[in-house]
Amino acid sequence: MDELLIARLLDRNNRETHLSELFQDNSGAIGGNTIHHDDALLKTLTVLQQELKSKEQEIRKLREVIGLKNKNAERLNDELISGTIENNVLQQKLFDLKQEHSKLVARWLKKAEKETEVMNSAINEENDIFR
Amino acid sequence: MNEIRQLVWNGELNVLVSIDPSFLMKGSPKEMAVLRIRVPRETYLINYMPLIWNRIQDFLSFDPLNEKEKYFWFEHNGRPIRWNYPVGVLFDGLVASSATFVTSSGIHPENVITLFKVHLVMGKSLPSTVIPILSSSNQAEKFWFHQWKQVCFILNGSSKGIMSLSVNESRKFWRSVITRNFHDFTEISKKISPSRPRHVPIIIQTHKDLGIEVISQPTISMTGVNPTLRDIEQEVISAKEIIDAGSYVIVSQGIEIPWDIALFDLYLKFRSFDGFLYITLVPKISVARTFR
Amino acid sequence: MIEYEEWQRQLRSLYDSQIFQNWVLCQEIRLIDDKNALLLCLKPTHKLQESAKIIENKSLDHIELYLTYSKIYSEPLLLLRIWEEKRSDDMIMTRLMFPCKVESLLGVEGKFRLGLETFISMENAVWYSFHPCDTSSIVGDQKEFRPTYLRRWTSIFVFSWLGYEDL
Repeated sequence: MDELLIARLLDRNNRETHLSELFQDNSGAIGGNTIHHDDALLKTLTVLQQELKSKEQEIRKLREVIGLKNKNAERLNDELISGTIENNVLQQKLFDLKQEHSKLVARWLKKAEKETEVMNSAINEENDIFR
Repeated sequence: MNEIRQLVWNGELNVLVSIDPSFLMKGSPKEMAVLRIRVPRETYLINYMPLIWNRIQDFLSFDPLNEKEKYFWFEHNGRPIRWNYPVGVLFDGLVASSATFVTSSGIHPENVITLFKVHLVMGKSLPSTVIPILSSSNQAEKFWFHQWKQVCFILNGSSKGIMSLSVNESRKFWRSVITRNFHDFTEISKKISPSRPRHVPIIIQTHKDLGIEVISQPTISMTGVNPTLRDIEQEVISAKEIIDAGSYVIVSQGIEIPWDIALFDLYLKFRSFDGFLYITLVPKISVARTFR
Repeated sequence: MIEYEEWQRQLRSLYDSQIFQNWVLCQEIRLIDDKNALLLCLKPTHKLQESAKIIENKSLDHIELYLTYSKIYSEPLLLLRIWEEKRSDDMIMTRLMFPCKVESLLGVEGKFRLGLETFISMENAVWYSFHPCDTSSIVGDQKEFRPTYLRRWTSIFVFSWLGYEDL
């Protein structure tokens, strides 16, 4: 029994080691241990990465600003629309009032005319008496 | 016995870890998002988190160790992976084609690589069956020790064996897993295994070719008996609602196991580094299909 | 240590005693017959709410307790899940919370040890479990006190840190 198991395990290990040299990103790091490189190039890379990171952050911040501005613009737009509506209403009101006003003026004129006529005829009558 | 244990312990897999682009800043070099590593079958995937974070730390768009709004987990072909099972067990159940376990083949095509692809992803909520990967460095160790406590209870009916380990010994025990120290591991794990167990710690999973994923943990009593796999066929299969045992192959540690092996013998030789014996039920049908 | 049948009986009588139903924190209680378990839905205490705020900067929605039996340890087993309340865009959602230091969040440091596990018998769902390995010595399982084993277990594993009154 043991020979059979050993043969199968050997077979398994052989199969699973095939081309294992392509999987060596952790060579030197056993289990979960990590390895540290220190290279001049890596340092430069790190600096550039830091910069990239900060730029990335900047982008995020600017995005937020844009978002805020967009919201403001939206709000202003809303206000503009409500202003326009209000304006329309007021225009209508103005128009109505103007019409009413001219009507009233016309009526008043008519009334004044009548009064003048009455007054004139009264004066004429008086003149006739004194004549 | 020792030779088998050593072979089991030495098993390693080619693992391709890909990191979801959502982890990285835009413009990060694509090759940074992929790691090709050799991983022992007898370890946890999350033992590689330090390596993974270290590799991508300069390209991360956030700090994963202080992230409280997002959860991380591994996936294979879009399905979440339970890191709390040994890597080899995950591989046997999720990846290996059932033809792999055909023992008589003996022929390995030159350009076929055995490969375990895992994808690291994140999200606002977690798949319900996955233990989240936390930032604490001893998460795996704590979980693993708790597994051994259970094993100790199942084997001996008390936790005395594991509780009697000194602090130094328990630390050495975990270190042996990380540094792959076979000698230390064997020495300490022997203290926990009795010569006459009450029960055998065993976990059974189904192979992906079955279509449904079932995991079971039967209680197999050993008092006064020394059953073979064949004798406990009922317990192994019943959990699956599968009647025909003849159409299944028993796989442990990536190889086919003969039905007439004594269970406790199998346990001592093939148990995993967390003390459990993992068995994968592989349907025979698809083996035939693969060969057609 | 308690036998499965005995535990089943004591769980039923615990349920019938209305002790959970009358609990200030209890929002929902369910006896899950086919699994022989008890599911409790609890309002978080003020203390818990506060420490969630301080430690995780999160707001709790509710706490789930699942009282079940461990055949491995032959002991009652307490499982726990924490649900946080999450507001986004005026919507309130709840989601599971997995704090790194769950013991200090719950205020049970040094008293109990908790670990995350998936449970095969519960569709492989993830729960915190209170490690049960010293249960017997904590609760005391001498023969003459055996009929009240689960009662005493409950007062230690549940009420000692959650409190029966929410002060």
